[in-house]
This record gives sequence, C-alpha cells and structure tokens, in this order.
Amino acid sequence: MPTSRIVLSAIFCVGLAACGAETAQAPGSPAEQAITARQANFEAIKEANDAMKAEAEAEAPDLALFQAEAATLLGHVEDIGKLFPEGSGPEAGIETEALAVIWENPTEFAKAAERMTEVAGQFLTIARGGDIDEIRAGLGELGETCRACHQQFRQKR
Amino acid sequence: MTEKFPAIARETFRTVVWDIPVRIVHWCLVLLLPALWWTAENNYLSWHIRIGEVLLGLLLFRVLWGLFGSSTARFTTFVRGPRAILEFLRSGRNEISGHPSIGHTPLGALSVVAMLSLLLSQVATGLIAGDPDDGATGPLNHLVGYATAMTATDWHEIGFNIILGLVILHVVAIGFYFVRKGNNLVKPMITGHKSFSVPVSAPQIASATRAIICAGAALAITVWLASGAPTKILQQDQLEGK
Repeated sequence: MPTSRIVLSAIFCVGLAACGAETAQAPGSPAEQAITARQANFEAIKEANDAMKAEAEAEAPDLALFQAEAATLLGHVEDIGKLFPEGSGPEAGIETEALAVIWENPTEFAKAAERMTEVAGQFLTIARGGDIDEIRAGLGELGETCRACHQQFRQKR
Repeated sequence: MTEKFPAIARETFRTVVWDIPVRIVHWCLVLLLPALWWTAENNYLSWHIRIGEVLLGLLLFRVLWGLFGSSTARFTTFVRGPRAILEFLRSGRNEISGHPSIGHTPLGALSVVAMLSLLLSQVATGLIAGDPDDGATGPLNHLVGYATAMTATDWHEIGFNIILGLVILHVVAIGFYFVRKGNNLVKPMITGHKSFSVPVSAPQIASATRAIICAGAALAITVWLASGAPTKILQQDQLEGK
C-alpha cells in the first residue's frame, strides 16, 4: 500500500526539515546582539568553570590553571550585569532563557550579579593562594552561586 | 532453492512476521526520538530526562525480548555471521540453508544491533550527563565525577548525530526496498503480517505472559536506575570498606 509509505515519508521529511529551520530572526537587531553576546559570555564562564572543575579532580592539579581560569571567569562575570539591556527579554521574540523577572525586578537581578562578581573575586584570591582544598571548596561555592541565579532568573530546564 | 510459482500465485502465503511487542517498541522509538531531540534542542531538559527514562525502559524490554521473545525478535535467530551477510548481499535473498527466511535480513540484523547499541549508549551517557549547577542532570550524574559527566555530555551530543545518521540510513533502506524491490517494509511493521510468494515457516510468537514478565523486569530496572538507586549500593560498599 503506497499511501502509508508516502504518509510516513512525508512525516519524516517534515521532521527533518524542522531540524534545519532554526531561528530566522532579523540579524543584528539590538535585542539579538545582546542575547548573542550574553550567551557567548555565559558559554565562556561555563568553559572556565568546566576546566577548573575537571582539573580539581586530577590527582596533581595544575595550580596555575586555576589562577588563569579564575581571572578569565571573573572578567566574564563582571560583564553579566551589562548584558541584559531593556528589550532583550522574552518579549523580543528571540529564543532566550532569560526570564522577564530580570527586568521586572532589576534591583534584585543587579544584586545577584554583584554577588556573583564578589564570589568570583574571592575565588580568584583563593586560586592565587594555591591551596587545593580551598580551591575545591571555592569551586563549590562558585557553582552554588551560579545555580542560585539560574533558579531565579533563567527558564527552568 | 525453492520451487518457482507462477505469477498468479504471487503473495499468497500470508504470515505474521512482527509480534505486537516488537511493533510497539518500534513505533514508540519513532515517537520518542523526535521528542527527545526537540526537548534537548529547546532546553526542556527535565522532560528530556523523563522521556529518556521511558526510552531506557523500552530498550531494556527490547533486549529482554531479544533473549526471551518471539523467534523474529530474538538475537539468536536474526544475528548472523559475515558469511551469511555476504551471501545475502550477493543473492539478495534472505535464506537460511536454502529456505526462505522471514524477519530481519542478515544485513538488517546489523542495523538492528547497531541501533540498539547506539541508543543504549546514548541513554547511558544521558544517565550521567549534565552539570548540577547549570540546569538538569541525569539521574546517575552523582555517581561520576565532573570531568566524566562533561565527557558524557559531549558524547551525548555526538551520539545523537550518529543515531540520526543511522535513522536516515534506515529510512533510505526502506525507500530502496519499496522503490527498487517493490517490497513494502512499513506495512508489516504496522499490521504485523506479510505476504510471501513462496511458502515460509511462520515464526513462533511468544505468549503475552512472557511479554508482561519482560516488561515488568524492564520497568523495575528502569525505575531503580531513574531514581538514582545504585547510590545506595555504593554507599553500602563504602561503609563496608571503612
């Protein structure tokens, strides 16, 4: 019966086409630029965090790595507060996990961003101190601070 | 070789090929794989994990069914050696010692094994993947270190592309059979039955009781894994070690 074959092929084709049809937004609109920039910034933070978390599990961790990555992480963390301009929230219609509450309650968000900067700054000091146990504990606190913000201001995954 | 039948007698030998459990598993995979892709792509990870756990249950069931199920579902029936594969490629006929065989062809068997292995590996990496500070984690993430979880997460992403490649190959092969050989492979996967131009021996269909037992076992293992239960065993070992 060719009809069932055709119907199934059609379903598959539509399915495959959907894979290719991602976002087709106006490139370079201010909202899109902001979203792209902050996502890249968070990616960089995750990259630095991943490198340190993995290194902390090594038998003889390379202490220099923590100093370098902690500095990188702090640099990106300091930018978080600037990367959520008005109009770059979910209302922009561009794919973003940022919740509207960021703009509804800007003081709260600024406070959280500040807290993150503070913890990342403290962690840089710890990394420079070179005590691996303190570094491990510091990484734990860093992760918790990340998570607290995700829970409050990011779409639930 | 079997005796030749006149054209008028074509497709008169109708028999069941795929039992109900095989068909249910197959069409569930068709539904679940796009759902898993979509939920991952859109970061609905808690749903992704739930659906992944359902997939785990289905795969475990299919493996059990491949050991204890109907003859066309059993690995020992359809997984054949390289000689049988070469012979099938040469002759284009699915035969066992000269007699027409129903069910997976020797080459198709490779695809089934590859698909099951890939999906099981994909579920395995998914179980431990993720970063607890950044969204969701698989139910067994706490059993592995951060670096292992990161590697698993990377492989989970790579694994999808390999699976997608195999799915495309699968669909292309079905298209090839339909267009070039006039052989509709989709219909038997829906109805369970297929007509042959030559007499074939019907498969042994396993009982519903067997299916229920296998499903129960698969469900139990899945619930245990999804609840992160191996932790308790590990903790026990650690306590005993101290």
